Amino acid sequence: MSVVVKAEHLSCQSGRRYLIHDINWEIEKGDHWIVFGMNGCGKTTLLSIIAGFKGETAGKLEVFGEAYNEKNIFSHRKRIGWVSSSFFDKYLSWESAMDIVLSGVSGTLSLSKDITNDDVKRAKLLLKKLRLGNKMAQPFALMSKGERQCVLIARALISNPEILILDEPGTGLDIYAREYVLQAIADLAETTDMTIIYVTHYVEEILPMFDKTILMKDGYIVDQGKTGEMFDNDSISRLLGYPVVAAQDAMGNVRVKLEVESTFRDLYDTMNKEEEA
Amino acid sequence: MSEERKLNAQDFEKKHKENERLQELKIRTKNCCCRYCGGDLKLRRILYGNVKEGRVEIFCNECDRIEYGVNKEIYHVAKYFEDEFQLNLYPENDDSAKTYQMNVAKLCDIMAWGCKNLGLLEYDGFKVPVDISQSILGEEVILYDMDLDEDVEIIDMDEDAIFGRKTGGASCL
Repeated sequence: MSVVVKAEHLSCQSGRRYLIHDINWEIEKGDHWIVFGMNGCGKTTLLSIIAGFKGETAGKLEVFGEAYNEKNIFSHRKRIGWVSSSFFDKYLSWESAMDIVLSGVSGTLSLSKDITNDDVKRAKLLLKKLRLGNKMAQPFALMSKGERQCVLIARALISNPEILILDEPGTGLDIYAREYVLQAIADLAETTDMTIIYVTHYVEEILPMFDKTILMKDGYIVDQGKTGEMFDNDSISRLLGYPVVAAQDAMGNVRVKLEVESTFRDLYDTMNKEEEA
Repeated sequence: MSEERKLNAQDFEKKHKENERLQELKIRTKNCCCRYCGGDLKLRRILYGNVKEGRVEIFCNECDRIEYGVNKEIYHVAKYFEDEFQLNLYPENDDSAKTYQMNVAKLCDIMAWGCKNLGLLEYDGFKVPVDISQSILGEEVILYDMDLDEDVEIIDMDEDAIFGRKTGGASCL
């Protein structure tokens, strides 16, 4: 198996703050990885650097055996399908769904001169499959979160990527779209040698074929290895900072159970008492 | 050609190839305008990657969108068509300025596609001289008293009239 992504001591700093720090991660062709971590732990930053949409400030990153440079940036981006509403929501607003999907053909954020009739047909087909056939000209800003997610999924798939990076793709999707996307990912994982990296907060989205996991916290990778080994009580409790019961069943499905006691009522009562006083 | 000069030429070609997209975007910002509003396009650094080439996109400040644009001549003809025939490709949308712009943008796409397939248009502009009618360009036409019939009513361009024109509704004249 060839290594498609190799990160060595990769860091990204914003001001004095490290968004990600000292990341060492090797992904082989055909691997299926889960990236698991709390909000703000650097998952999106790490994946946007791998996808070629953000730069590292220290360390080394090789994608398809090369560091990103002026010559390969677009050809490499085309080979990576990148779905991340938390990333693209910052840059896209009034662009139409169709334009966004077609931008995946060139690995840019806009259209390019290389768009062919077949690309347009394929974009239409993908949007129709994702039930956006009547919203192809709709601006991104006027779409629901789930619709935006579907547009980004279509954008990622239009170039037949070798690496598919899905940053919380299930968030905001309705029950049909979520199942459709999960089924599509399962099909891709089973029938192709596509490398898939899947970020999620929901353990029920972790399909059995995702056999490797990295756990991230505060910009660091705290652990990485086989999914079954990563999702044990100790690792997940340490990661979340809360006692949980985690396990993988015989079918490969991951289960995490945690009992959270809300202190909101106490806070509310205290505030009311203070107000009365 | 000496070996040294040959090498320099290769370097130049390589450099040019590397900056191909940047050159393409520069040409388009010069030749093209926004498909939606007809506004000028600018090159803008959108992303914060380390690779210069991958950070820049064409942008329409007026619409606040990343916009590849269309040749200005095509935009003017598309807008003229929309103003004349009020083609509505989005009947499910409100009759608003946004819908009007979406219709013009779609017409731009269709016309650009046609011109490209007729071999008249490349990404860097028209391959044949274009002789566009001045009236299509929407330039102000000065009418003198003697040009006007007695029963022609002239309405001041108030807000409603401007809005009506923008939405493709009743003309102010």
